[in-house]
Amino acid sequence: MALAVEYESVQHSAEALALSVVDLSAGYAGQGKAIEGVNFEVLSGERVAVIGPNGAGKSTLFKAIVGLIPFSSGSISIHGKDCRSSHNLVGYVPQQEEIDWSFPANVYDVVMMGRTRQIGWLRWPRRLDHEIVHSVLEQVGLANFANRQIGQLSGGQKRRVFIARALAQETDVLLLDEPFSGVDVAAEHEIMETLDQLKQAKITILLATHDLNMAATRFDKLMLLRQHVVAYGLPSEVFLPEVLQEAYGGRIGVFQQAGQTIIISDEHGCP
Amino acid sequence: MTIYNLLQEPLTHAFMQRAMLAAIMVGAISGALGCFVVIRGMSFLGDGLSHAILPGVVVAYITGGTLFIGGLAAGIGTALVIGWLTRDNRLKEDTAIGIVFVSMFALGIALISANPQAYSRDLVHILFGDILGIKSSDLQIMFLCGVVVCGTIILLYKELAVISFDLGLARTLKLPTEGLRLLLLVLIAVTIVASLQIVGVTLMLSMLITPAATARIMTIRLHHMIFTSVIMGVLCGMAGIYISYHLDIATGPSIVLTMTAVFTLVFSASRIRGRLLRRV
Repeated sequence: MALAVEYESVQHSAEALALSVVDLSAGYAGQGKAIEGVNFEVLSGERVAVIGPNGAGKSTLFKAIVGLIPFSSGSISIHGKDCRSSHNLVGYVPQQEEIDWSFPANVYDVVMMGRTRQIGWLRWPRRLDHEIVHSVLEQVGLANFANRQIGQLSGGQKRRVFIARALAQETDVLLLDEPFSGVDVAAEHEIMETLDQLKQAKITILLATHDLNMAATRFDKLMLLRQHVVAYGLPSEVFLPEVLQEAYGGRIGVFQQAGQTIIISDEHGCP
Repeated sequence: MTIYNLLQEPLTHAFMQRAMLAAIMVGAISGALGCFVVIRGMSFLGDGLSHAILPGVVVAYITGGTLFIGGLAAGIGTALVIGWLTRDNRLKEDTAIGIVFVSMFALGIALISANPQAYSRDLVHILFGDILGIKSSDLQIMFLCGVVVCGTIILLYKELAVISFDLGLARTLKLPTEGLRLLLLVLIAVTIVASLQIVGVTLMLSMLITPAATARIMTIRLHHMIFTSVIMGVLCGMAGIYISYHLDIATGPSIVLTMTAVFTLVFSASRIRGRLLRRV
């Protein structure tokens, strides 16, 4: 046991910390705290699935990290820098309902928006910016759709446009807020394939989802959230009956049978 | 009478030359800025703001000052008040507009009614425009407004596009979203004041919305939309002036109705085209 701890701490220092959240409390004004006392660290290149029932604070956590809502206490640092100090630290893929899909912009324009800060004030995109947009479109497999109006895309393509936009920011920490909600299985595969490609580029990913199966099988770590971090670690450490019961209450069924954990839940992780 | 005569004869009058120049400039300015009004769904704000400049114009009129300056001060002032009232959603924008802008309009009417002579004679000009009474000093101010509005759009194009499309991204990138929103409000005020003499307070909204709405149907990228909208605004402005001259009708309504006619044509054409494409 002692040996294992030592091994872990050695590995810890060898790999760079991508994201560190210390004692974070945040919420919308006048609605109390959606998350309280949240602590966790994510290593560079790790892929973490954030799970938890509706209203557990997944979106609030993400919005606090990317700076969309202020946080009342605690600190967030990305690659060792305070998240409030710089503007290109994280890429954020928002929930898709928040977007006006009839906006006059094609795929290329939306991805270029990610480069607003690199281009700088009072300037128009230069050759380098165009090259980067072309290359991230290539990376997410949308090169042939560059001239498509964004409303004319499939669900999976729409998500990939926003992944590409975040990549165009040249950040290596990516936060995706429920990218699988409201898409079919084919689109889910499409998005997952794109994320798999980013693994080679050592992109750190935090992804909020209700799909417990995908969270358990396709990610390095799981974070179970309900106002605070209920459990954080490998699927085998998180998918324990008592842990899941604590987060989901009676709204999820957990059974252990012949060494296998069986979880029964509906699509959204709770009724 | 040849077509050349139809187009050339009105321009032999100096007041028609000034009217034409004014229509071209205002068509371009409101066409460009109107795109942001349309894509951000700010048309109610545009309408309210165009009425809110009235007290400024009236005060300038009574004291013998420049109408432009009075209107601009009232417009920018109210735009900033609205921006301040609605920041952080403490008051919904349409509620704030309903209260502040209509009160300003009422204040303007009250001021002008205290001066019966001006009330009967000049209220019509302020409400519906007086393009034939444009002086060359007015043209200079319009040109300046155009340089300010178009220059700002060109220099801050990508930031204005980002806050219009995805406020979330703008905040993630730590852009000064509130400042940019206020800047847009001020630019709308400048555009409205520049257009005041062409179409007046009540017809203003059409200058801002119709060319941009037409351009939106025809394009799928914002900078193409702005370019198309400017062309639309300029051409409709010119056509409106000619129609007003030859049919002897008021210029403001003539420009507005021309824009509406073009919009109707483009809208119908895109519908018919869409239906044909679906059938194939």
